[in-house]
Amino acid sequence: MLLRRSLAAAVVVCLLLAGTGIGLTTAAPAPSTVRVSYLQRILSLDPHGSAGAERMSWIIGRHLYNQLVSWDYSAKRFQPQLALRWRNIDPTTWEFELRRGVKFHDGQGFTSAAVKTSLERVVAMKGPLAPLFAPVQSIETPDPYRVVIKTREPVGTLLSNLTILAIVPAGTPATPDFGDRPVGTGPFKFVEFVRDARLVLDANPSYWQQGIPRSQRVIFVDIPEVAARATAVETGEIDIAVGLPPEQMKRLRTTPNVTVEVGLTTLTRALWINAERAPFSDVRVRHALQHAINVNAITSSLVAGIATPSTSPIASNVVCYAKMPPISYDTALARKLLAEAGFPRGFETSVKWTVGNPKEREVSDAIVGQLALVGIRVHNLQQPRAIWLDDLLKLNWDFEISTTGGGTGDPDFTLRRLYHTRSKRTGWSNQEFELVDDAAASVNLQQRCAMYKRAQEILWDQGPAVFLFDPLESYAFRTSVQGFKAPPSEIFGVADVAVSP
Amino acid sequence: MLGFLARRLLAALVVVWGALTVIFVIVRVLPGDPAAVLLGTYATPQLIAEQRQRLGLNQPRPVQYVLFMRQAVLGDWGRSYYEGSGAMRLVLGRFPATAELALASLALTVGASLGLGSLAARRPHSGLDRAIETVSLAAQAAPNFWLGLVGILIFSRDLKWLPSFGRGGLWHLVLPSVTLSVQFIGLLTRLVRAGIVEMAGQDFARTARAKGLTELRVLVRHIYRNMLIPVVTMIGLQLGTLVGGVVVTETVFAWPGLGRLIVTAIENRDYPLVQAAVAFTAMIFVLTNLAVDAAYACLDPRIRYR
Repeated sequence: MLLRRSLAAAVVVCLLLAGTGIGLTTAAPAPSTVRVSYLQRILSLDPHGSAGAERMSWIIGRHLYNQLVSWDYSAKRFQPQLALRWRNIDPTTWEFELRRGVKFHDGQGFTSAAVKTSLERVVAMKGPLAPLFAPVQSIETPDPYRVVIKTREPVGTLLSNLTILAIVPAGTPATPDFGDRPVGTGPFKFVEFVRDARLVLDANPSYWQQGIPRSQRVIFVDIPEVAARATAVETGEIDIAVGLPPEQMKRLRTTPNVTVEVGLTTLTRALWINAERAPFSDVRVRHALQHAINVNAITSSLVAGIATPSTSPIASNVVCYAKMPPISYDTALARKLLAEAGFPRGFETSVKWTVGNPKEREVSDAIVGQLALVGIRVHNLQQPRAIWLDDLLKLNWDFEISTTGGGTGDPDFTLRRLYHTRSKRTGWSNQEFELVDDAAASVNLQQRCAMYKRAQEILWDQGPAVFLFDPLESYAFRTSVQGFKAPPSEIFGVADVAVSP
Repeated sequence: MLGFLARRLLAALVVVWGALTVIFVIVRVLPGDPAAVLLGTYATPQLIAEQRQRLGLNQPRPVQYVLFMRQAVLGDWGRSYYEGSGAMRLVLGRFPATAELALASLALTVGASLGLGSLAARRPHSGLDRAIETVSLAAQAAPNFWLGLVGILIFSRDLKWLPSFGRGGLWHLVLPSVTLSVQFIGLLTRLVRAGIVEMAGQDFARTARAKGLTELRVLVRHIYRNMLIPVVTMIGLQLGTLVGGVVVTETVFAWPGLGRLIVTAIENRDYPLVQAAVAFTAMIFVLTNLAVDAAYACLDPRIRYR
């Protein structure tokens, strides 16, 4: 009796609990709703805080916020967003004329005070974006639609840094609470965020750009398992899936009602070599490593379709990219170089990496196998992210599989931030390479590119890394999705996408 | 009974305090700096120092401990390093999803294993018994993530009967709760069967049959009551596990439960969130045990707590 009664009670409780959940159904398939899978976990919706440099933050940022300018990957120039025009009064003074009639989602008008608040807030939040704007000395707002930014020294990267600075309302305090109810001027406004489940955004009806957004609602859905993500786009439970591995792409390519595309990223995957440590301080050893790794074999099998072999230390769509001469795969040459450096029988070492990027384990296995052919015995060490980061930043590694780039799409973000002696990230140091300081200080793009070309040559030739490949991003979407095309960088947006019922 | 309850609650507080102290030490002994994880590969020494300052990590650990305990007693579990929200609020926000899944799979487990176990025990060593035993062994051995993915492929992709991910209505609950139950059903079925077989030969069962009761009544009224104590113990343990750690199932089905929250908190070295989650799950464990003890007294009148 007792048992039966308690069983019945348990069933009733379950039904009640489940019943409360019914109203929460994800992704109601209403027309003109775009449902997109997350790429990674959304840590915070605050664009200036500690999650400010996360890829997901930038993707969400495209929808909730606007920036002053954007970089046009095809025209290779900056385009107006909230700023209509800009000019250098002198190398340390920038004047921006702002767009009029733009409103924040809460109804406030957008003025120069919002720009001032945003620039000050990103520095005050002390997140990863803070160093980009640290050289800003003062922000003046002579009138509501004019902003004058003065920097301590000439900052050639100011415009590209501004392409990732989300503009928030004037007077927003520098506390993470803003992320709980974010307000911007973007094509979509915040509705609801359920951590690890979904982010719901609704169209901003008074968006300043004609015809945008094309859909009423965007729902970002969290599906951490890639196989489940691919299934969800197949069953039509979501409209766009991002970040799928080659085997899922292959399956989806033959699935009716699903289209598959790949797009460029600004990223580069590399095997970093700790040039501070012996034997890697010897450039011959680093050259041997470059010749001993068969990049084409890796990109044509393990990451087939989601990567192209590196042709420079920076990805091909990064500003000022210059194509470098190919490095031959030549084990005989590698062995010869190792012998010259005093290691005819190779040596023992280790590679450290963490999960997070597609096929990292397979790539590290391949590298270990290929280096064994020239006598280098590599211990393959997968680490939890926290420990990996600790080791990475303390230079406690021999080899490190590293994904660099991203961010502003400016070469400074990779070249100076990671390979400058001062940055202490790879243990490598080169006097001539410090010309990246001059490049960063120049506000003339042509001059900058000439210097960055030389910087790329030095890196390519001196090899503090074996540059493996430029990862591509994969997108699978339903044929009912209109207007979606693979974007020119890993930051995608769906403001101009509609879904036919 | 009241004195017993008071003593148990006091003990519960000691258990929670103990668990908190242990986790406080463990998360800090683990290698990895929360400030560095927070900033990711964009970290610079200066930014790390500033973040450590902001998070209060540059104070000596005993001071951190005292501050943490004082605030915890006042009900303030601190803020997650990643988010503006309070750590305990995040944990509590996840509880409904976890409880829903846990209770659904518990109901499924109890129902299925009582049914299957009783069926198998009707004729020990018969063909049916053997078949049920084989199936339960197989069920116990089947890995969760595999079952989940296969379930998605069959019931969501091919048959299109069930949603493949997320939390929502009753239909969303089916695949995750079944996936989660299969192993427990395997375990519990065998326990139920063994209990019934053991009790069926006892004197009281014979007496009950001699009174002329039907086999069903003997089973439900007499045998179940006597074999339920180990079963309830096992259910209590499983409930604890279901609340604390079903990360794999949560990940496969994109279920926003506590397990994923805790694992990411540990990966991110989000100390306040880990601490709040541990305090909460410890409390749930203690309460479940208390409920199990109370159930013993209901099931077996000889057990009395003073």
